[in-house]
Amino acid sequence: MSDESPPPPLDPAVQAFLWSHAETGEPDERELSRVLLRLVAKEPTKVVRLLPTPPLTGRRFLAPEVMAVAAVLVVSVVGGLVAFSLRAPTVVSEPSPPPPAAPQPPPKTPDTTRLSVEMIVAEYAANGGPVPSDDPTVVPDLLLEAREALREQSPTTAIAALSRCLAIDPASVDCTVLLGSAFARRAAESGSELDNHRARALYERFLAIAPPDNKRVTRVRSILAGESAPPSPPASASMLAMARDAEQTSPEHARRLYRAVFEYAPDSESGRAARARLEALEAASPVLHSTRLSKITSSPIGAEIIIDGTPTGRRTPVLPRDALEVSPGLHQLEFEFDGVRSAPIVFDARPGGPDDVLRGEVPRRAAELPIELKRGGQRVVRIAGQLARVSVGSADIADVRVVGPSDVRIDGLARGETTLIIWDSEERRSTYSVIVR
Amino acid sequence: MRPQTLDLSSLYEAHARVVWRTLLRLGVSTAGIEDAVQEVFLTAHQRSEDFEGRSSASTWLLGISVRVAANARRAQQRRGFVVPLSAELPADAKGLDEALDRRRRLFDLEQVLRQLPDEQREVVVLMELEQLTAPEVAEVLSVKLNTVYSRLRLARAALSTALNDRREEAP
Repeated sequence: MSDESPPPPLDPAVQAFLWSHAETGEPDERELSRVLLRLVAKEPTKVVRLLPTPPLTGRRFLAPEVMAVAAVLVVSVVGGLVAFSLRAPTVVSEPSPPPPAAPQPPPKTPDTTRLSVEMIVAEYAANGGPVPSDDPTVVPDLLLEAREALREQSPTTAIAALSRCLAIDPASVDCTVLLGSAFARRAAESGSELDNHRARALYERFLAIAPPDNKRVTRVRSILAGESAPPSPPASASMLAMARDAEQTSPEHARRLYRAVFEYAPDSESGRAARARLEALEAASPVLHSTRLSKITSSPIGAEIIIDGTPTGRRTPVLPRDALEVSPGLHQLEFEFDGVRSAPIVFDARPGGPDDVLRGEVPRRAAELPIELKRGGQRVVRIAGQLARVSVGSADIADVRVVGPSDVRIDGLARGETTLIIWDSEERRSTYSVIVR
Repeated sequence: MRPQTLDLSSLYEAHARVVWRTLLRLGVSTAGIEDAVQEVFLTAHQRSEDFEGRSSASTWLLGISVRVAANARRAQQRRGFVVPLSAELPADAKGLDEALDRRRRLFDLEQVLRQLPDEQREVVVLMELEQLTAPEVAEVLSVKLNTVYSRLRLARAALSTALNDRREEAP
């Protein structure tokens, strides 16, 4: 039922009742902060960053929203196919490793002695147990298991299932392309060139056997064609343009975008431009166009706020209703959490303008750095120097493998918590808490 | 695909209050309110590429809130209305009075609003309490403007009846 005209005015008694309840249901600050804490804790992040002292000052951890932006550059989903750029850098990218003198593109013609699809399948198919080679009815179940594993961010599990699938049905188009996708995903996570090549071999096989009208053909062709140009110049260039646009309206957001471009593509023209602009921005003290500090937050939340060296007795977050006042001029803002103090932020408070968000980051103690992963999941962590040795408290909970001169891969085996200790070549020890959920 | 550009904490700081009270007014229980608020902002964060900027962020969040509240009401009906044991009672008598007053006023409002069918309740909450315009409400609810007017007309009549009944029942 509908009527063109607005309804008659509200009954005054009803209006009085509703207006008298206009504030009903308002949360108090404690309730608001409690949910904010839960939100911050729930924000998804895939990146584990362990050691500070990157070449640029400021945030040590990429904000999740920046990771999401960065993910736009490396991930796309077409018809259920998760296709990471085959030459995407590892997701662990800070501190930035020294750029290789001359990055060698992968050979366009794969080494068939190592990368034949049959060998890849034989290598991995046994991981999931004996292959029921004469039972094609299990193929749909294996595909389902693989898709679940990919959704759960567990490419190794997917690889085992799909290899068995291909061992049973070598002509399966779906198994071939999904196995390529799983290797590509693992390559994106670990930086493994070999997985990169495996993915390429499988994608090439897929193109050879897939019907021309398969919805994934175009996408796979474009992935293979774009392989030699990491990262996509239009993507990083467009992010650079977004960062420039954001400088006036949201300098903090602009900085994050610049940092994302730089970290994603440090050797590209966009990456160099982003770094130069970021350094210029960070060299200048932020100007706060207000003497009323109404939006202060930190990571972690709950840090004590220290202004000009004096504790204010307030903790983050500070919200507009309960703002902090400062006098006009230069001030120094610091945060302290659990005895650890953040790097100081110097800001110039000028009255009369809109509020800006002041955000700080307190470096966590190394021993408190949690590394969380799911059972069956993986995380690759990178340290600044050269790895010397690693130790894990309970090998039943997590398996740790050295996968590069500075990289350690952690595999979640069983629910629980254990301790990981990493020594670098200068015998500096870092301790981390590994939580498998 | 639009890149994700919304900052979750800034979004929360700007809009948490309106989302919170709207969810309560749409029938989310006090036991479930924190989960519901969290769900609204996580949904917004995850779907920020869907936000096209044609409406305000507030209108967009209210649209998400309406859907989250509908789901919460269904869940409450399945498992019954849960009254939480408050873990944080105010320490002093004044604080206790204020807390009780907040609960009483919310209960009063709920008693009246629950007389309305859900679709009418949504229009009343958004227009009469949050003071959105009819076109904004139409956008939030993804319905035609005429539908908003129609629901509002029915809701106003039902509210008058409900308040009259309350007055007659009062001792």
